[in-house]
Amino acid sequence: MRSLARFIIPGVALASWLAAGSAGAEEKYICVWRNPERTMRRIFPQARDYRTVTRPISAAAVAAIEAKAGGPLLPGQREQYQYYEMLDAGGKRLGAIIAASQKGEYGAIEFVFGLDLSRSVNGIYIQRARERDGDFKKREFLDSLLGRGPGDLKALDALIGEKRTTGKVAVVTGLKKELAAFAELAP
Amino acid sequence: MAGSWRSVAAAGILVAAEADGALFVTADADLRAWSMGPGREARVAAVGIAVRQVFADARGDRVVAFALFESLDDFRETGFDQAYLRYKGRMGVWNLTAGRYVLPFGLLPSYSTNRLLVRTLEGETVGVETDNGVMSSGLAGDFDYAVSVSEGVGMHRWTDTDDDGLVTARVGWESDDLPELKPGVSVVWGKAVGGAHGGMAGPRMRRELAALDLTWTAGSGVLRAEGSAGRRDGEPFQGGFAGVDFSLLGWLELNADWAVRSGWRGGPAAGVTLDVLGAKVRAAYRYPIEKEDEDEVTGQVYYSWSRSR
Repeated sequence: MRSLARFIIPGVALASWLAAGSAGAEEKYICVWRNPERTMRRIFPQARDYRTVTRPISAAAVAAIEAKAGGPLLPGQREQYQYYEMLDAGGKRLGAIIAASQKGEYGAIEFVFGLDLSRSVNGIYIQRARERDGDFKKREFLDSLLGRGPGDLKALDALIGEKRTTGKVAVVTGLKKELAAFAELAP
Repeated sequence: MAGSWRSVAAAGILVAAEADGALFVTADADLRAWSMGPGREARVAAVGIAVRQVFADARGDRVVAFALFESLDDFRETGFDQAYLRYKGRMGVWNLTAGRYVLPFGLLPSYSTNRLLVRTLEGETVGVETDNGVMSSGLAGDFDYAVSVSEGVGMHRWTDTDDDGLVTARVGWESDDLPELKPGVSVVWGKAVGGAHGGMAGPRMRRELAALDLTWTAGSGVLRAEGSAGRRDGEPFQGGFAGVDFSLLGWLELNADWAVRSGWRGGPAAGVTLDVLGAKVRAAYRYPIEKEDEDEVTGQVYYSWSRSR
């Protein structure tokens, strides 16, 4: 009984604290990316360093991004936007790397892509996924996304093809959101 | 000495909270109830808050300050699980870490089970999960490496109890062409207490072990395995761990693990993880082979919360 009381009192206090702070903050689908430099170097072989950039997302920006992307941002995607500026040996910007995450059928699908200075996709890799269908991991599908940018959001859906698997839809949906957010938030 | 370590950690956190740059804050809570034999108990297993601050210079991200402060076991034990500064070389080719950090051994760098119902073998093999020292780590092509020299006292103390240190090292392989497969090889040499994470520190013993580890993602399943062999205090030791997580539905995962060590001590466990309103709800049944009457049922509610700026 004593241990039960010890459990309940701090538990209720803790739950209240977390509930008060958790509105829109649950980050189920935030990407966990170990050794980011490995993928960064593949997309930007000439890069010699990078800088983490975090931008707050205002309510107006959320609305603008959702309108452009054609769908709602997930919890955890609505408050802060993060990307990495890739730099050459002289500190000059080469482009950006974005770690994205989108809800799949069996958990989050995490992928990483690069944008060159013209804001076009110049490389994309799936980092982690638990989907049973692996079509979205195939190089043929991923390479079809290269060269696309914020001006191609409406055309991206066509790249899913006739076989609309959860993985392909998630990657295209996630990419649309990230491109819209980058256009809205990155100077 | 202990006071100066604490001052350094406290100053680091203060600087991180005040500095400009990318700041990440995570808080979590782990509530558990379990039944083992005739005993039943419920408690706040852990409450933690982690702060990660990235400092950049004109050339890019340069220093990472990280601290994870925890209160364990119904708030009976409180302290830093991790508190370190990491100087980042260009593009991760080399990094230098000083403070209390996760040791590079076996599955540890990529798989912490502190907030899971899984039991791995760190307490028996390397002894401690985090330790105070210095570590060099980085990337070389598809390989990653880490070499650490530390005190062997874990999160229990800030200072060494004797002059024997602990050396751990790991080389891992990971490729964007085959992200499903991540093997690694590691060694530990030196003296360390046991107990892995929190609770009473086990006896300090000499550890001379090598380990192979593997993380393999196949469809909706993830297999993690680690095998180790060598000597502890001069006695032969072998240990093995295998754990499988299988995502059955988007909100339901099946879990199984089996950790054994010399003399077939240990046993299998099976459980489920449910995603309920943003929290992880887990239940597991564990059957210890050597103590049949101490089979165990555990329930857990886990919640984490994150912010960045």
